[in-house]
Amino acid sequence: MNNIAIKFDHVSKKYFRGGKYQPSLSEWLKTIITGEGFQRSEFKALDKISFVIKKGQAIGIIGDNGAGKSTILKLMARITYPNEGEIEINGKVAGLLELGAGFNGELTGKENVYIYGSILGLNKNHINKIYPKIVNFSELKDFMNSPVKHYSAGMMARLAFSVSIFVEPDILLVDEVLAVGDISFRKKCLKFMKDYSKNSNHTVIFISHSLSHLKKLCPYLFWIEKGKVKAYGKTREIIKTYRSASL
Amino acid sequence: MLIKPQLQNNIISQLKELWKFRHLIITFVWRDLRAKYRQTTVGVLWTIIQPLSMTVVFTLIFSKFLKVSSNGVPYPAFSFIALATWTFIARSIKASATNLISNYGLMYKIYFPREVIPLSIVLTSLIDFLIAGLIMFIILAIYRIPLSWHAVFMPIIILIQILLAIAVSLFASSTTIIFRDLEFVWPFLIQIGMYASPIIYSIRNLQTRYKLLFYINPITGVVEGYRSIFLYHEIPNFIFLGISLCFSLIMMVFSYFVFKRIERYFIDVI
Repeated sequence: MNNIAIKFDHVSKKYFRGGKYQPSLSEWLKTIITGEGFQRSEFKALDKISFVIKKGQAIGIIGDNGAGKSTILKLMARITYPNEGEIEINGKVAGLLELGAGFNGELTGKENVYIYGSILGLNKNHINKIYPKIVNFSELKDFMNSPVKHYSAGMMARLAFSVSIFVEPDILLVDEVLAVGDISFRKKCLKFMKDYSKNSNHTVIFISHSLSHLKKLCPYLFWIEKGKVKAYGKTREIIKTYRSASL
Repeated sequence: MLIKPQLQNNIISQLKELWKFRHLIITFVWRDLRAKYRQTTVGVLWTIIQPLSMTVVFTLIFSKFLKVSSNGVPYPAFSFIALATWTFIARSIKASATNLISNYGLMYKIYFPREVIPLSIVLTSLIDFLIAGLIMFIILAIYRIPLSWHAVFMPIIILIQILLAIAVSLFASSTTIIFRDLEFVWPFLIQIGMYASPIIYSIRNLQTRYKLLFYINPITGVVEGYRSIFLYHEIPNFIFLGISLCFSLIMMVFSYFVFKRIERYFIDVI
């Protein structure tokens, strides 16, 4: 059995920068004909990055703003695609890339749970089964029939997190979303993710600027800087060097 | 699963993947129908108010004031049948042009084959169209126009109409991503298109030299087809229908190809 969850092999991601971030018609035509991404490299979000993450781990990612942490997660989730290199993903990916989970504001919390579940490939019976768990974990019982547009940021994060975990992805991505939750919910989520990653089939990838959260959840950390892996190692040691470098 | 910079999938695996996500199309339809009328009072009635009121206005202007001929059939039936069809195509285009962009939030969070969005739009418009179809039968009954055996051609015409809508929706959605300006161009192209198509008039009344122009319009076959089978009780014009079908198929293959090629860069450029 392959025990690799995620493998990045010399992966680069380039973005346009500045006012002319729209590709020109000739760039579009080239993409349509060749099937390749836009080659204009004004900003390298990731620069030939390589790493392997094994199953059954909780891995943290730290780094300054704009270092490329979120881009890594978006590549894992197939939201965006690399310009160079290869990515291997084994298993179902779900998670929270920023707030909101793409909820439709007009619809109720309950309706959104069903939509989100079916996007992640669950059928109605399955969602019926996990729905009470989601409500219970999010503690939003009284709000499930209100439109999501009336939710607070914290409530939205609660619901999104709860849905993501109960679809039971093999690879759970969590990008800095706990920041808006209150202390008790954060604790609950951290505990859940910790237990979740103990299953040898589950992998948790956790981006956070909260060093204490990282310490609690992840035994190992990646430190990303300017689109490269600056360091990888035991959480305590990485945090120590990261701290002293940031001061 | 291996992710590479170039698109690896061929058309068959793309279609297989789309088939796996077929439930999502239904989910999106259900979501759009619920969200669309959520805070309105008459709700789903809006679906029929629009073509009905257009029919009333058109009947007044073109039949009563301008005396446009509808070849002996009541003008409201004559125009409603065409307006319902036109509304279906127009809604598909308009919504496809904007919905990829308005579903940005969702596309930014979760992977799914993006063509699910234009396809669900066509299906949503189809539901509206079928409701309008029921109204049409009521109109036929009011004017005592009987149903003849020619109605058996209806499934063929509907099928061509759906293919056409899928083709133009895929085309509109991907080209609008490439040229954002098109978002503003589609509405007035649709308006011009309505006058350029036999919606308020019939090609039967046109001189032969103008008729040629309508051969290249893929809407003609569909609209005139419905009129033939329901109003004139005759076999539809298969040349017009064949042109519509060929146009739709070619455009659909082309648009799907382009759509899949640029799909993975939507998020980077929206």
